[in-house]
Amino acid sequence: MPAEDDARALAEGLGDYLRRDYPEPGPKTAAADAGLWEHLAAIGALGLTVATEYGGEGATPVETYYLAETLGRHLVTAPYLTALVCGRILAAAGDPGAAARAELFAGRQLVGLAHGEGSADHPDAPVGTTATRTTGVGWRLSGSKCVVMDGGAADLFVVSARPAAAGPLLFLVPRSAEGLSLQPYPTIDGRGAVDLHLDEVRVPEQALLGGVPELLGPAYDEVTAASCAEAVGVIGTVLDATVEHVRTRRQFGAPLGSLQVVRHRLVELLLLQEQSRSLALRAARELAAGAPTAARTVAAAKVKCNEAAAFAGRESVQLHGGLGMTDELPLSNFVKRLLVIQRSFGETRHHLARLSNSEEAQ
Amino acid sequence: MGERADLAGFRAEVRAFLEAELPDRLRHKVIHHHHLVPEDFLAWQRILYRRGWVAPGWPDEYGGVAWSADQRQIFDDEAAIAGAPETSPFGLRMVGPVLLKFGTDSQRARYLPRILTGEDWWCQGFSEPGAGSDLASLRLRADVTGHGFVVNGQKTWTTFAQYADMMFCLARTDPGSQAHAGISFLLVDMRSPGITVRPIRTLDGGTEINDVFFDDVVVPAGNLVGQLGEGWACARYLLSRERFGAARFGRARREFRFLRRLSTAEGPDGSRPVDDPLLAAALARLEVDLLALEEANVRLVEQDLAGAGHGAEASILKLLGTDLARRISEHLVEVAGLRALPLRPTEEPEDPHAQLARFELNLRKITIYGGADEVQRDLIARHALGLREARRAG
Repeated sequence: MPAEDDARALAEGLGDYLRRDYPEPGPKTAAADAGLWEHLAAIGALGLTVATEYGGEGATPVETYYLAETLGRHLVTAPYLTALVCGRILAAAGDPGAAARAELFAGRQLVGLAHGEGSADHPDAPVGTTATRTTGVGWRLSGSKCVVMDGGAADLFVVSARPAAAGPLLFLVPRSAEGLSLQPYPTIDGRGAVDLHLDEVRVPEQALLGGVPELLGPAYDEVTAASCAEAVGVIGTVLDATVEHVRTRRQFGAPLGSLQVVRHRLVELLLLQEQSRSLALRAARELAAGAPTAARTVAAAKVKCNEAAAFAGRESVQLHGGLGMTDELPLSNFVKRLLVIQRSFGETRHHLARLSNSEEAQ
Repeated sequence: MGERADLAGFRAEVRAFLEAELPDRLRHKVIHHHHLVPEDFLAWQRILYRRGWVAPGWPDEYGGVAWSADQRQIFDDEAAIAGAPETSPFGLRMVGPVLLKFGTDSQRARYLPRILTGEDWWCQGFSEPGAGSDLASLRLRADVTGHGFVVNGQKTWTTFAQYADMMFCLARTDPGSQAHAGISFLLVDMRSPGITVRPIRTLDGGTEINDVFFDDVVVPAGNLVGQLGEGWACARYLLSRERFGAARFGRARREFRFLRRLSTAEGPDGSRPVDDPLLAAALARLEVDLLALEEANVRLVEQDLAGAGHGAEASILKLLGTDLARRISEHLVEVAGLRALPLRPTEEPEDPHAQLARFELNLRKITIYGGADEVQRDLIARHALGLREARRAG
């Protein structure tokens, strides 16, 4: 068992901050989110696993695990996962990403990932957006991107586009680029996303970050593991709230929690949470160690976390009964976040296919 | 197996009617999972009223239509598949039958015609903050006075109370009573002084349900249905009549079709979600359960009507139906993936994914209301299996 005291201490510090300065789940004030973002930048959370020579903290996905679980526990709505995946991409891109990542890690600018064009945004998702090399001056990008998470607040976008007869590439595109239009909207969990339309957007040669498989592949595994950690935290709060509810809610002359069917269902959730935490932590540790099995373990963790998220979301509402259907308990915010988590960073079927299409380590 | 000729003829008649009379606007809203408002339900109700089909199961002299169980099933299935809204149950299938069985002539004459036309919108005052699954622990207090009742207390999760003209409710008329005794079935004019309705925001962002507060609300003696203190008999009768349509087979068929449509739609690169063998297998499994639901529905309703059953048929059908509906809705969101996440304006056309997350969240109510799944399972264990609990709780 690796010593992870430093990672835990970092997360505990963040937990203290959140208990003290971050409001209960629900609509947030801009000030609360701005304050938190400043705090995350100050503790180095925004470039946490990026090597120091690229302006990061040189920590590992294990640190990320404990931080993200804490963010999930408190249902932090700040765009942490977006910053993580884009930070990793910008670091891996080397020089072309230098200026943007410095601003990102300092908390001054946000970068959004504009890759998905349909139901999914994993590295293998089809890219229809085109990149055409223009003589001498760079590239011309045309196409559409949908559900760019946290895109409403982004200053820059990492956009995937495909040159003729080649694999998709990633480009850095400023929000203000000519020909780029944004359609912002809220998402079901109260956060925001945008659809992007690129109409002959011109970017210089230096905007080319690299290939999708090389850059997005590793970053996606890391952010998927972090999303699993967030799920574990969200599920933890949902389990606690539901246990508290069945302990105090009385029907038929006794607490709901005295009914065997209710107790067993919550035990089921506890078992799923233990499995989820185990796999999410293992994924983080294997990523940290650069283990050859890491990608498979990330996929396994996501499958289990999605299963636990679905069960937690469904059964916490069911056991809260009519109260669970309302938007008036903190629970509803967590339930909706779980619905989003299951759709984010690869659906269950995507990760199951990854597992069945790759060799088990001997 | 072919359908009996007379039933096949009826099915054709229903289809032709739906084709001709169901407004496209309504069909579209239902199929694309938009929130419906009372006016949507009423628009459809008025069309059914004109055709004489609004009140299956009611006696002829009160404007009902004498369909057999098979015919009712056919109508419900065809209407749901076509994308017709269900008529609001509170008048036509809840208080209406109660008035027919327990009401006075004057109550029937006054309320039933207005239920048929939709002139009165009814809501159901059963649940209270402390009385959900355990309905008999309700505490809404109705003090008996010389002229009727004075009602104080609260109901909650009351569907569309904000639009209602009338409420039927259960209230405790004997303050010292416990459980099922001392409860009366009252009709309350929602415009009475002392009633406050507070809409409750639900998970899906809607405001279908409400708190209803009663502060010295005067209810005339003539609004008591059945005997004083015998309201539980009315409530039991009302709940027992929910057996028709408990399975919601037509809705399941409609949603499964929508799911197939999403799953077979080609993406920009020409691939279809259903090309994934894992999804294809999941769809096949849902189809198996859809067929099972269709047949179980026919068989168990027949068994129940013949008096040959154990009395838990409606509960079995409700469980099978809600479980399938839930799984289909979860798959809808899954296939939509990221595209299910945006919250778009309700009326925005034509992204088939736009309302799916809201729909899935809204549908979670079906395993809670009308007897939560856990309560239904207890009931089935008792009636179908003859198993009694060792202890109630504790």
